[in-house]
Amino acid sequence: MSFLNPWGFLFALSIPAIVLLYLLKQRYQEVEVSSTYLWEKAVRDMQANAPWQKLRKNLLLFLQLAAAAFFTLAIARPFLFQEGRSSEFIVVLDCSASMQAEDVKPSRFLLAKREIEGFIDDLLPGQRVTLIAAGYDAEVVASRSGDKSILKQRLNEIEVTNGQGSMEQALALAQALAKELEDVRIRIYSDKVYQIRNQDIESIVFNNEGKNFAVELVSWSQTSDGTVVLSKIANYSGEDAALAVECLVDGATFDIREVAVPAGRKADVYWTGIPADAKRVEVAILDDDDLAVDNRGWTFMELHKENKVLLVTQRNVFLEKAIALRDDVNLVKTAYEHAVDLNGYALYVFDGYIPSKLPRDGNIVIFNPPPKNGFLEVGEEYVPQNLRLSSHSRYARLLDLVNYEGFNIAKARRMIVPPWAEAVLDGGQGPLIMAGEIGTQRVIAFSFDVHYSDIPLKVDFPILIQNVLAWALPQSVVLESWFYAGQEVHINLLPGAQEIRVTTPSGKEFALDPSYSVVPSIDNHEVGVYTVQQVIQQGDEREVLESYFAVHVPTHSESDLRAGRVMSDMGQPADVRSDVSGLVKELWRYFAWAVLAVILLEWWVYQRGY
Amino acid sequence: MGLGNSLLDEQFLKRLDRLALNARMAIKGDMGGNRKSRSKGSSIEFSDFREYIPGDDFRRIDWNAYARFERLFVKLFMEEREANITVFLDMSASMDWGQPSKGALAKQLAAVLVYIALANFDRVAVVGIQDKPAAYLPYFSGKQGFWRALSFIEGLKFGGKTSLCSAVKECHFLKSGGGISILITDLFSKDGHEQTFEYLRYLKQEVMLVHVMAPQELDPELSGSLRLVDVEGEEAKDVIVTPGVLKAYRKALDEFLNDVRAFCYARGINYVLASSANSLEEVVFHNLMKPGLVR
Repeated sequence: MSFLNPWGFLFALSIPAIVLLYLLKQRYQEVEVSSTYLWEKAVRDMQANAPWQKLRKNLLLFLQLAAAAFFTLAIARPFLFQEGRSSEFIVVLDCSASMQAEDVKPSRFLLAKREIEGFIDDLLPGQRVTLIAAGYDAEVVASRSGDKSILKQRLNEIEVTNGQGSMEQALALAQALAKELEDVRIRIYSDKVYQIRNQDIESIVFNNEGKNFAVELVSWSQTSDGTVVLSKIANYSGEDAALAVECLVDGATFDIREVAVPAGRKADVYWTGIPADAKRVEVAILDDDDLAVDNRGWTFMELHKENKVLLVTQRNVFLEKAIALRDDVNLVKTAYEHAVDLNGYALYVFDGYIPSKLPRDGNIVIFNPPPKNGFLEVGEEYVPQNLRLSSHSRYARLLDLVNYEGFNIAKARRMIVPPWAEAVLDGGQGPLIMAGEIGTQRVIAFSFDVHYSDIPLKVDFPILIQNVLAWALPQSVVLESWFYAGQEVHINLLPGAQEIRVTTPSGKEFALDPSYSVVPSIDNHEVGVYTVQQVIQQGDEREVLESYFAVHVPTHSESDLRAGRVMSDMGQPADVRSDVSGLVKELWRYFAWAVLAVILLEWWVYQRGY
Repeated sequence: MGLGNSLLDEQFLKRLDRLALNARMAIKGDMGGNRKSRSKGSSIEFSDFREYIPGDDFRRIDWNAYARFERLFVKLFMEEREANITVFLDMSASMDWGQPSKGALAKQLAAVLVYIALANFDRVAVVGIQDKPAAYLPYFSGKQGFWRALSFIEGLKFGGKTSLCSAVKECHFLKSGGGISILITDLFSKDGHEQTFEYLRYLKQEVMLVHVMAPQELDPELSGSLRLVDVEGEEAKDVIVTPGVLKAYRKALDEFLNDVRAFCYARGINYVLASSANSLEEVVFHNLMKPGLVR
């Protein structure tokens, strides 16, 4: 017999304590009697009648000692190994945003952690636990460990996220791990009920069906009446609610409104009269609910800046028209002979020409590069056939919605793909379109003259040019402004960006390395407004461009606090045995019954007055 | 009736008029009287008249008086109260205990017995005893003395310990000429009671024992861990009162009462057990009358 909780034997100290109390005698209640004569006689008689009366008198003491001994044994939790098997547990902890809800105290997540801690405490020697945290990604934080202190430490390091969580991934991981192990049991700590087909799992649910309100969307549009902000307020509680909703413009209260939202429905709220120079609008629900993190939403008004585009051509009306389709483009045309000392443009489009000294401050699009240009290696002409898209290319989106298979190109020049570029569209003997980045400068090259193709006559042409401009004319630092926690945030590096600084909602600042041509994604686990600053050096001019994005809780999956039932049927588990209840036989229950029996016996003895 | 009201009322006293102490023993005194002679109606010295009550010996009716007053009187004679009756009343603290108090009943009984004795022309003395005679009302006779005796009894205060034997032995006025000794006590005496009775019998006293007990003594309703404190200052006793202990107590009580009864029976002592739960009337007309102590 071994003991799960040897500290329980400390309770054995109660045994000498009971004896001591008996030695110190009970306190007697004083009662006046006419004479103690008969009482003395009675007590003397009792003792005289039974020589073992002394023992009897202490029967209560012995019973109490027995009860204390049994109780000590019970809390020491003795057990017997029934079979010499060990057992494995896979514990999955849901770290999604809904676990932050406080409908159970202190919160679903903290309570789940506490429960897991209790579970770890109860582990028997030889049992091992694999701990999987389902945060933004499923992560195995402890693998097959039987060390309680390590498990608890790892458990404490797990933090709840503001994101959607990765329960599906975590369950798949758990199942995969379960297949490799014997006698394994999967325990899932979440606010939803999980079931896995053909798999016996324990789903421990922390959910009290809390009420929650959420800001699901904040966006803006420019109308004839000025700026209008649209917000969507959702009521995930079971009752109709009249919510106080605040609109803040650049941090100052702009308006507060009461919004009636029926139970389980969403309401659109429009805020008009937003000042024209407003940069940032926040919409917040002021009422308390069980999940506070989704009660705010933000949107940002970027002032549209005109982009100066220089088209160097000997006349190309197709390009001219296609580029000019964009409102924010200020197109400047110039002939080859005037194209000297180029700078000050966001984008340079060279048609059949490449200057001897390339500009460094803007992105570059080249059509039909001339031979011996000093920049691109260009060979002989050929007739492109079997056009093929390099779909795995990072730049494949340049051909989004473009039916390139219908292109007919009479002639193109053979281009060698330089190390900084990738072929996007292949013409059989070389790339027809290639793209790449030199530092922060983006370059796209077309190896043909549009005049020698039917492309400008197709509807695909303006689409192609807009795709090119969308990439080559980065309007803002951040492409979108509404993000969900855990979603990758792409930052468009402006040409010439020397330094990129990101400030998180809590004021933490970190720098990104602009030398990576890969668009960096930001660690964006915090909900709120992030500020991105790009320092752009153009000659002697140093410009700091500030832009914003906001990270929100994925309300579509996290704001509904009701306990859902999730059936996960990924994979068919192999012969996973899950019944480990017969592994050891805990004996404390028997001792607890013994305690009860002894106490009842004691009561009976006391009543009978032995 | 003044003082008399608190112990006895007049109505009750009237009912007592007919009663007389029944002593088996003939009493011999200097006066040559004999209690037995009373029943024969013979007389030497006229003492008093008393109005006739049905049941009186009609031979003793004074017809001359009847002729004069047209009312029936009986003649009472001196030699008939030759008995010296001594009423010993236990005045220890233990007597002033119980609900209702044993002391109250004991005082009432003492008064009743004094009254009955006086009504029968006996000489009566009242002694309050603790560990020694604490108060003494010397022998007197005549009904007019009853009120004095009553106020004396009423004035007695309970307290101290009981030593029946040593107290009685100190009563030097008890002559070995015989008489009736009535003890009203709870028998919770330091030195036991047997010796007392032996001593009184040695003095040729006819002894009558009225054993007064409180209902709480006869059937105690105690439980738990108790420190029993003796009102007479004896050492306290720690007892865990369980049903078993109560059982043993009742057994001890029964043994005690049986011992006393057996002792008294063997020595011709009249024994009466009276519970203070009972009314005086019940005690007098039931407890005392039934065994024939009064008639």
